[in-house]
Formats: sequence, C-alpha cells, structure tokens
Amino acid sequence: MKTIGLAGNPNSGKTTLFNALTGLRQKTGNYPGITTEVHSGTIDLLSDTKTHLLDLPGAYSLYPNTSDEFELVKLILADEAASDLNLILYVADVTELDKQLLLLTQLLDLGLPCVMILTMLDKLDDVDAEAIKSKLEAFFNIPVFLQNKPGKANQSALKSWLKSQLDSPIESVKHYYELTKKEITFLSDTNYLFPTHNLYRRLLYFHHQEKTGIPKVIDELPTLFKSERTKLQIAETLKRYESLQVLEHEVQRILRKPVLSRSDKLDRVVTHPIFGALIFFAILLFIFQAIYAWSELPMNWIDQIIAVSGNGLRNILGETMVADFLVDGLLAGLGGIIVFVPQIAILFFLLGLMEESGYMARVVYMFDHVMRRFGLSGRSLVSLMSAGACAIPAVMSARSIENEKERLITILVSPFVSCSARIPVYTILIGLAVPAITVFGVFNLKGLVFTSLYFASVLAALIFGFLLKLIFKRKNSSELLIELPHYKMPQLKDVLIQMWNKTKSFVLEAGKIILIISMILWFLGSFGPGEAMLEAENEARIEAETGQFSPDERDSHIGSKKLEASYAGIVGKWMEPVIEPLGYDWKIGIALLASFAAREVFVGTMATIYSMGDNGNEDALQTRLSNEINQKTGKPVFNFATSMSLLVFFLLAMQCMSTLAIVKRETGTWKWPILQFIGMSALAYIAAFLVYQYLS
Amino acid sequence: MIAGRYYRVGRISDNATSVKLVCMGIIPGKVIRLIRRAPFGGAFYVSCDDKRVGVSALELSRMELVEVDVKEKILS
Repeated sequence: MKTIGLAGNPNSGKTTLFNALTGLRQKTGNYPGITTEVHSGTIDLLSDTKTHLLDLPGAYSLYPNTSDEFELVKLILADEAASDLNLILYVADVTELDKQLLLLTQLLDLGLPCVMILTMLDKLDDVDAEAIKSKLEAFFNIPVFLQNKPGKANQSALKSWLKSQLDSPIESVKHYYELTKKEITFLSDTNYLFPTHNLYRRLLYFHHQEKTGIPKVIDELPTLFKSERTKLQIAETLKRYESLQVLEHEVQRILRKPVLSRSDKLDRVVTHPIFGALIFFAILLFIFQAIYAWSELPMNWIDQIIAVSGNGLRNILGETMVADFLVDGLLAGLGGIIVFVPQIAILFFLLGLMEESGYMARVVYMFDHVMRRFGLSGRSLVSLMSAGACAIPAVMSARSIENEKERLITILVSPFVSCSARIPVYTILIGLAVPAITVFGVFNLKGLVFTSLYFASVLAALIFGFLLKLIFKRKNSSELLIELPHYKMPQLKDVLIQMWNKTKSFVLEAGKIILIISMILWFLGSFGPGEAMLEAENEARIEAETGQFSPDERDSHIGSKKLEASYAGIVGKWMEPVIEPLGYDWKIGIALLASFAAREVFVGTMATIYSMGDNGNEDALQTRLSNEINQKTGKPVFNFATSMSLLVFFLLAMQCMSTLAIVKRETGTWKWPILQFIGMSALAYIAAFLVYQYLS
Repeated sequence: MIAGRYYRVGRISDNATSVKLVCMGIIPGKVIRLIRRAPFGGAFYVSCDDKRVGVSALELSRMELVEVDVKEKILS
C-alpha cells in the first residue's frame, strides 16, 4: 500500500483535511524512527486503490524548537520512515501563504516528492484563486490543488487528483537554498558517513545530530554546528525568503488583504488586559459547570448499565467463582473507568472548541508572563486545564512547551490539579465531614468546600511549580513566541474526532492498568492464607446466629469478616501502625493502598470492604461509613478529623499508575515518575498527619 | 518598546527562539506593530504583515528595533 504524508505549518488546515479524508478510519500509533504518536488512516482513492495517509506533525520549518514540531524532523530524517513516504501532500492556508512556503522549500531541497493543496479558499472574497495556483505551479514546478468548501464532489476530485500524483510523482530539481562554501567543504568531507548524496539532507543530520544521534559514528559534534548552529539556521532561512520574494509579491498583489481583519476587531476585546482576563475566567467557570451539569445523566446511565450487567451475569452464572471474578473483578474495574468517560469527553470537547477556534493561543499569550513566575509557561495553562479532567492528556499536551525545564515542571505539577477521578472520593468525604448548611444566605457549605478543594489543588500546583523553579537551575530560559492564528468557526467534525481520539486514548491507557489492579484487588480480597477465610466465615455465621442478625446483616457481617481474613486484610493490618497517626484504620488502609493504582478505586474498595455489594451507591455507602465505629476507641471512624485528613491526602497524593506510566514515556526515564510518586505521597502523608493531629 | 507603535526590525540575535521568529516571517527589514500588551507587563501582541504573534518583551528586546512613524510604515 502506498503512503501519503500530510505536511504543513500548524493551523494550516492539515488536520481538517486529514479528518475529511479518513473520517473515523484513523488510528493513533507510533511510527518507525519517532517517539511520538502520529495519526494515520486509510483512504480509498478511485478504482478502489487503498492508500495510507499520515498526518505528520505540523512545523514552521525543519529547525523547530518544540518537541512536538521536532517529530517531523525526526520522521523526515529517519531513513526507514522517509522512504515509506511515496508522496508529501503539502497543506498551505492561502490567507497566510507568504509565511507557509518556507517548509515546502526545505522539503523540496531534500528531494522529497511533494504536491501542494491550498486550503481556506472560502475565506477569500473576489480573489482569483486560479491565478495564485498558476503562479505557485510555475514557481515550484509541482502540481497544486485548490481545496474549496468540503463536499463530496470536491473530495472525489481531490482523490482522483491524488491518485494521478501517486502514479507519477514529480521530483523537483530546483534548489531554493544554495549551500555556502563552508557548508559544502565540510559536507563533502563526510561522504563516507552517509548513504545519501543529498547534501541538504546531510546538513540537517548535523544540525540535529544531538537530538537524533545521526550520523551514529560521530561522537563529538563538529565545531561549526556547535558555535554557529543558530546563525547558520537564521542565514539559511533568510536566503530562502529571498528566493521566495518575487513569488510573494505576485501572490500578495492577487490576495489584496483587508487592513483590519475580523480577528483583529475581536482581539481588541478578547486580548484586552482586563476584559480578556474576565472573559477567560467566565469561560473557565462555564467549562466546570458544563462538565458537572451535562455529565450527570450519562454517568447515571452508565452506573445503571453496569449494575444491570452485573446482576444479569450473576443470574446466568450463579454464585460461582467465575461470576465473582467477572462481576467484582472485571466489571467493577471496567465500570470504574467508563463512568468518567462523559466528564472527560465533555472537557475534551470544550477544550477542542477553544483550540480549533484559535482562542487557546490567546490564553497562552495572555497568561504566559504570570505562569512564568511559577516556573511554568503560558502553554502550561492548557495542561493544567486538561488536568481538571485527567492528568494523562495534561502530561501529553506539555509536548508543545519549548523549554525542557518548564515542560518538566508542567509534567510534575499537573497531577496536583484535581482530576475527575477525585470527584467521587471528594463527594463521599465531604458528605461525611461537612454539614449540609447554607452560609452567607446563598452558598451551600458542601459546594463551597468542593470548590475550595479545586482552588487548593491549583494553588498546590503553582506553589510546587515555584519551588521546582528554584530547585532546577535553568541553562537557557525560553521566551514566549506564539502564533495568534485568525479566529475561525470550529469544524464540529474535527472537534468530535479529536474528542473521540483523546477519550479513547484515556480509556485504553488508564483502563489497562485500572483493570489489572482491580483484578489483583479482587484476588487479594477473595483469597486468604490456608483455611483462614473459611474459618472467618464460620465464625461470622455463629456470631450472626447468636446475635439474631437479619439476612442482610448476616451477609454483610460474613463479607466483612472474610475480607479481614483475606490477603488484603492482612496487608491492611500490617500497614495500620503507619496510617494510624493520620486517623485511619486497617479498612481505610486497604482502600488507600488500592487507590494508589487509581484514586477512583477508593470508593469501590470501601464499598467492598463495608460489604455494600452491587447495590452500594454513594449515598448508601456514606450512611454506612458514618455509622462505622472504631473497635479500639469506640468512637466513629469517620469523624471530622479523619474525613478532613483523608480529603487532604487525596488532594495531594500521587495516586494514579496510568499517569506515572505516561510521565515515564514523556520524560524517557523512570527517575521523574518515581520522584513524583515519592514526593507527592510524602507531602500528602505529612499534610494529612498535620490536619488530623490539629483537628482531633 | 511601547504598545501601539511601529518598529522596523534590524539585527536579530541568534538563539533558538530567534530562529522560530525568522521562520514565522519576522525578519530584518520588516515593519512590526506592537499592538497591545498582556496583563501584568506580559508579552506583546505583535502584527507583521498579516501575521499576528505573541512575543515576550525579553525576546523583543534582543532584536534591534527602530521606531518608525506611521507614514513610513504605509510607504514600506
């Protein structure tokens, strides 16, 4: 199968075109030679010719300074990946054409077979697009396609055009950058190192040797590319602009742009120092309201479906070990993940709208300076906002941060922000600790505590960002440079596909680990050493008979006693001395241990420990917990001090294995996730200890 | 550097951000306008031809910028 790569600048309409061509027939996966994930899909060209389409990472040039843009360079320079590309479809936004041709000249100089497609033609009024196309074709000697408004007729014309280009790709012979004598002399001496005869390709190898490791036989980078690298890159770029100057003038004459665009008028308000900030906070408030208000109904449906499925399985399989495993292990674990999908999907949808419209770039511009005081950058704000749903996409979105230290700090502090997995835990604990009263006449005290936990989590992220800024000594500080693209009406299809891909990624990434942990927990809770479980059951039965328990009370008592005798109970009792100073007993200890896999497991484990079974909803569990008496002290287990201590623990602790796995992938080492885990857990322990000791 | 004024770009420093600046089309000889500034003395909202970018004050200070009056801007 032949492969077409979509290349172009960020915001050129590349992904919209990719989505239009592939729809949902796309997948995300690693590609040879690069570490990031590239979206790929298949398209049916005419005559049923299936073709592989790759959405290559967007970049302004082959000299990028962010790790996500750099992925394009890595892919182009990786021989295995580059030789797979039969054609590069270069996507350029016609309204920004003058700035989007630079990368094309570099790709052509590499001898890659390129064709061009012009997007955003609908933004031009009374402009002769055919004239622009002719100018470009004549200058670059490559075929150009005009992408009008998306539609079936246009798509089939594009597919037919792509097929003809794939059948007979044109190799460019023109060069847009003449290498300097210094560069030629140096590169000619390196013939023995490379299979390629393309000198510009060799030049790029040396510019990026430190990051790509190509050529492998060079240990020490030549002085030319150490001391003068950026000078050479700037000089080359300026020469390329010179070579494009005539074309640019001709194109500009045809385009005749308005002096003040609609985006400029809108930005007078949106990026206004005061109104802009107010608008941002209003949007933030709306997002959080929407997440909770819109997700309630689908979350209830999912809960009901899981409960009905569990009961159905039990009816079919009876009270067997297989049924226990499927319902209490597999289904309970699966339900724990799927129940958060509505909240996460809504957040991704709203963030997608902000990104697609061009508003997110304004947010970065507005708050970059403020975020830098906390060791972060404006782009970190996007990560922190995503972390409100889930830390996994938050950590992944830090790729767009240029400076390695700022990126690392963003990755390390993002998990502090309260994610949706903390919501059920907060709900239960606030229910236990905070009375349902109204304060200041209008505010519900529980709601206020809930909101303040969110603010506290953001504050924790900022404080630790600041501390890490002091600890990490920066070699090179990065400065903000971000394109503020023209506003555009988001394409619903693009936003929905993006939401689908990210939500799917969350379910798969987090799901795998949560599922495994749930099954391990089920095993630990269902089995015990020797005959201990059987003996505990018999003992509980006798106690139930003596105490004249009702059938429900008897089952609950047996479940509780069996758990105490299980491996999980042994582990819980073993750790009791460590957690006692925080106000927790062994039962909380088991739930706490389980929640280190994923926070949301806490509620499910508590329901298991307190024998709530399949009918254990949050209200019932809350009532059960508030009645629980500590056998040692004779006082309620979940008093105000214990509940507040637990709240603080969950606020600060790093309890998500999936996030740790992603942090390892993004930082390329286990060092940071391990330090993050130890640091956040130690902080949570100390803070919870202080809270409990002060309040009790 | 004052928001609302026009400047002609002269020499550009050589660091990674400058390479990106040049790749975005902000090159010596071009006239840029510092349209406004972000809250708390933050980045500048800069226009160059039809391009709009957010650039930190420090990065701008590394460039040689010569103030031009509006008439010269229109003629250029």
